[in-house]
Amino acid sequence: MKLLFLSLIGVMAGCAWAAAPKLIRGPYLQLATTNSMVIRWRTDRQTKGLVRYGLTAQTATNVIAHAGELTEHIIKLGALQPATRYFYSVGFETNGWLSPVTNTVTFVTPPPVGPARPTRVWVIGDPGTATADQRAVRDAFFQWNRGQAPDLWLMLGDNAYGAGTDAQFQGAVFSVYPWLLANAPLWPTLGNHDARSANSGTQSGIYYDIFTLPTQGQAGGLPSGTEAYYSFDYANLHFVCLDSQDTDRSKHGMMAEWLRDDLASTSRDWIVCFFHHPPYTKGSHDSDKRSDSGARLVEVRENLLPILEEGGVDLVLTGHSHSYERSYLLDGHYGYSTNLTASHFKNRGDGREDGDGAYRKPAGTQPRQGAVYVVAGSSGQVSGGKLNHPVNYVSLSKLGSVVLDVNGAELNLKFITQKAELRDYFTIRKP
Amino acid sequence: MLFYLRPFWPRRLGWLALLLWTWVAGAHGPWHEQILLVTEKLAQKPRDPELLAQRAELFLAHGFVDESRQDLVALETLQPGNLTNQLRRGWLELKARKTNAAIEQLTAWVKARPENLEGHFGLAQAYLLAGQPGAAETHLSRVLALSDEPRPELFLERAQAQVAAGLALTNTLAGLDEGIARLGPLPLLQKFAADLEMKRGEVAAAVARIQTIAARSERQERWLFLQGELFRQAGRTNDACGRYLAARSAWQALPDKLRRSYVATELRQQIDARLAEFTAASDR
Repeated sequence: MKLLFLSLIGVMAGCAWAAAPKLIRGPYLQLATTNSMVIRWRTDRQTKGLVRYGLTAQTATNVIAHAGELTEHIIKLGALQPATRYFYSVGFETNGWLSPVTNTVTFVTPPPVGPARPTRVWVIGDPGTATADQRAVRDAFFQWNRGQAPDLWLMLGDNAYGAGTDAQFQGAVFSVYPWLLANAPLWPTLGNHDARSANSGTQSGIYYDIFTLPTQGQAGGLPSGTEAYYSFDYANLHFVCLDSQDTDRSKHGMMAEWLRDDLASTSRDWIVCFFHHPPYTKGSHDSDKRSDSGARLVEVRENLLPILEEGGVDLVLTGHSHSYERSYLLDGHYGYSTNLTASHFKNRGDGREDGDGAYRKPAGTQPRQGAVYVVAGSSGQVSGGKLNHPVNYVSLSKLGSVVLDVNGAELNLKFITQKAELRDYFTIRKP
Repeated sequence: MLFYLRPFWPRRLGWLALLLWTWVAGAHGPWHEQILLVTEKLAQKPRDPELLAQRAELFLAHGFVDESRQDLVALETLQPGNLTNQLRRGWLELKARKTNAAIEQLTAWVKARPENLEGHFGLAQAYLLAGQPGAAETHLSRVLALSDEPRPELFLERAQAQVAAGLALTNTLAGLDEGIARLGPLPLLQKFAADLEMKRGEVAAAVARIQTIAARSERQERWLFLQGELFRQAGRTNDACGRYLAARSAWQALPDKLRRSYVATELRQQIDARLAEFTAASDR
């Protein structure tokens, strides 16, 4: 009788186990603000999702659930403290109790907007190959960063080859960066390959389904009304994400007009802009060819760069060419490379403290202090090219990623190869 | 089979030229990757309607109208009377700027599929191109009604079409406010609405609209200047002068690093120029 009872219990437990929803994606952090964080994950069957969180692993007892039973779970944690580490796990409801499907992991909310604070940003471009090369770039960053999560990370487009399908995002993003996705907020931009399964006009498709991005200036900046392009603040940095793929890139298009207003409205010390198509490249794409990529490279250079430079941008990050290319401190070059003149260089040194000296943006009221342009599209593959654009100080056909550190009046950028070697670096200083 | 092979050969030669061009160009734009992939598949299944449709759409998306037309003709031959090909044909004619043909095809399509967003959007673009903003406005309104998450541009496009069609400003403003309600206080929609308020003499409403942008902005100098411009336009010089002075104070309160952008420098010059105008006028 006792044996029968135990068997019955065993069968019931087995059934319960079999019926338990399984985590198949995430958790991943989105739309980080000083007092909120969006947590998303996917289960293999519909269930009522919950997040348990708190200030320590032991006191992570606050529970938030979403309404209804879903497979795509999106929960916004609100009323958080800025610059604070939170412990959390996600799970599902069983008779009113949380059944966790993850171990407890952590995130840190962004610090108060305005005051300077050491900030580390990991930047990857065109990573989504789901290959050993992509994983090597990831591992090299972890090695470089001693296993720590950055404060935030940026994806510069072509996040999932070849067509940005859900399965491709699963293989090239969620399966490759699970720890990072759970521990640091990701801010992406749309690449041409992602756009094969997404439409910026209707904000629909896989890319827009997967990511939760600001449309109302929730994380700083002016409302854009669309997830295709947006801005956000982090400490003394203002980040601007543009859609160079699938949104009107004309001088007086809605994105351009929004950009003008947004840049004129920010008070941050540093402005970093990121989008997919590079204005200056001689890698696997050529910014001197109007026929390349439907003239997108030429259009961003001719139409959007003047707005960015007039608005005081410091650094522009792009991908598309599967190489690393980094410019001198530049200003006002909107033509082809054959039209480049000495006057376009604000500083023709290497930008290194131990070389020609950091790029300095001096005090005073004269406008147009210059910006550095970086193509960082080799986080998943390299594809060669002439690599001889004359605006660039460095052009490399090397796998790798970019580490951006901003500390008060100093911005440092490093290119780390897939072997964790430092292959380029520079500093910009402001008074 | 023979029927099909005849048009296929020149196209294949065209592809050799395209491949050669690609090799010479040494670049790898997304368009030819996609098109080459479909072309390879079509070589195996030359009468596959799905592949033909896919390539026709890819060609069109990348501006190769003639190539797209060739594929569409082949597709229409394979699928006579297929309704979706009417939509494709409509968009093709639109890209070819043959507005009458586009309107004819797309009208037939939306008649059969009145809830189709792409059809209404195509028709709106065709009517705009044909210089018929009133008809365009109708279809843009349908697009907005059918879209869950419309892009902001659509509200502006509709408002511009309404103004061009000479419709009542009240309706246009209501349309912009619908956009603001759905998407948030977007600066461009508010600025356009402020211009319309001025057209109907509602200065206070125009200034209030700029104020809603200012309320979301950390920096005020640009918005105070714009408010000054609105008062100036309305001939309210004292109010205008007050806003320009406030804009100058806000500008002066900016930290040095923010004054250094071209935009900030230019704005300061504009503020000073306006204030100088007033000083000169009062001296007279």
